[in-house]
Amino acid sequence: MTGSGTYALLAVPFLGAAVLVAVLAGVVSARRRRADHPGAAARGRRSAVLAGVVAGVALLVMTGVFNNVIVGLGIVAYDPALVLGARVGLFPVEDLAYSIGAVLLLPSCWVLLERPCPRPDPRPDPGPGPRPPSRPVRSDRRTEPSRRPEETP
Amino acid sequence: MPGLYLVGLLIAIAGIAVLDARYRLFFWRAPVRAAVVMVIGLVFFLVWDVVGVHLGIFFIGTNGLLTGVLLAPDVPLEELFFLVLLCWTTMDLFGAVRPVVERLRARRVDGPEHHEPEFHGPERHEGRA
Repeated sequence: MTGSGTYALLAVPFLGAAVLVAVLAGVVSARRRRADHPGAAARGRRSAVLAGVVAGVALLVMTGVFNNVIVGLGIVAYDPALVLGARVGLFPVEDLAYSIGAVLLLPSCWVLLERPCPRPDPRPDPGPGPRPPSRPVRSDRRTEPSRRPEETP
Repeated sequence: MPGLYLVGLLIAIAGIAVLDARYRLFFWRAPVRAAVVMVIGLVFFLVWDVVGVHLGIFFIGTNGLLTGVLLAPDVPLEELFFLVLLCWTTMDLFGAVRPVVERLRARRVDGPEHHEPEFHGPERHEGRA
């Protein structure tokens, strides 16, 4: 595979896979929340999506700084024949696909791995996790009597 | 100076680890789940890297900052640490932003004039006032 679109095309299958996982996470978490708190599904999912967008923008800004440094220092170099030519400062714009992939894939995996079965007890035994029981986790939700703990590994 | 890039990466990773510990964002929220997500991310991006190197898209440039240890041709040891930094930063950001967004949204939905008609329903009154 050669040509200036090579690097851009390389991102397609990876971003495609990340999008699929993100969609799956949206569907699964909506179902879970619907079973958990009827009616709350849309709100919870939108919050996660909005959080992903905000985190993604911040990550893109940080990537812009970081990649300019490593390309400027000669830590990584690119074959000019295999990139589109559009650059963000020093680095090819295609590099941003890594950050987009990260923010699509990783929070989605995190959501998918959330404990699916909430315990009815609002203050459950914290289990073998590292969290001391005296310090409750910062919850994603405001205090509701029936809220489930964010995580009890 | 050889190794300087690795030192820089380790300093950056230490920074996000401190933020994680202080605000319980990722590993300090759910260590096992975080480890699984991290491994998924590292495998995902290492495959991406190896394919990119194989296609000749990117490679190690001219510099005196790397340790010289390679995980694969044109994949330096430092790349693994870079990917740790990328994944951890992503999840620190998500872990920090998500509760803020949910709190703002909950406040808006609870308020006297909310603009989300799709949330009309019994769940709006369930323990939120």
